[in-house]
Amino acid sequence: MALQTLKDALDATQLPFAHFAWAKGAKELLGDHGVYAEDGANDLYGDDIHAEKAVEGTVDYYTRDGSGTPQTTIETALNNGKIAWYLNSIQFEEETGYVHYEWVFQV
Amino acid sequence: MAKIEFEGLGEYRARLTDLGVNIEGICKYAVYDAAGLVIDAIKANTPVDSGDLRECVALYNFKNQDGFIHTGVYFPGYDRKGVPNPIKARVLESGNSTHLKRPFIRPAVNRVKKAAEFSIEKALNDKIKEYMK
Repeated sequence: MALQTLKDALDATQLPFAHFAWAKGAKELLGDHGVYAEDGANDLYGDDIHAEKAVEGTVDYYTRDGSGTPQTTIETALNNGKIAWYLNSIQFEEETGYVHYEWVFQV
Repeated sequence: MAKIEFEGLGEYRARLTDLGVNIEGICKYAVYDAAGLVIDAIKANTPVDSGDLRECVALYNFKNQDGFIHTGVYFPGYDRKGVPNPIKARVLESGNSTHLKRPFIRPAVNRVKKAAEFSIEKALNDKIKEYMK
């Protein structure tokens, strides 16, 4: 239940996160929101078997809070959950005013 | 006292010199081979709508930076609707607040990373052996 570790870590931030996607209209009600999704694996092979399994994916957070507080909160939660991660990109969306943080994780 | 004799040292030295002169080309050849694997994997993973994005995947020119040979994959040009391919690729890979992401570059690169490293090692070994024959 590797993903449960990630879910628990993100729940601890008390920020709104959905798995893969939000229901229609929910994002607009929430304002700042996040999504996490797995998209691959990075298993360790040995003796012709998957000796250790790892799930890789991304955590995205969209915020209009330019203070960097959500970023710190999420990164601290990932550290506390002992999840391997790196910040992949920070993008600004002109049309919506959101700052989009994207982390790649492995659990 | 034991006596050891070497023969053909001059020729050996000439081959080493030749290898030294051509080493950049050899490295580029090895990286080009591996880059082909990576491009193929990305193309196979690219979401297809019109197919324009898959067709445009290209390699940067090779760059030698302090002895490290670099190249990269990019998405030049526009699709048939006039949308810039780099923006399309970026939105697919990272998503945004209105579009769901469909990562296709990072998973493809992860999948072929080991094969690409092995390909570079093999190409270098083969080429160096050719020079030292």
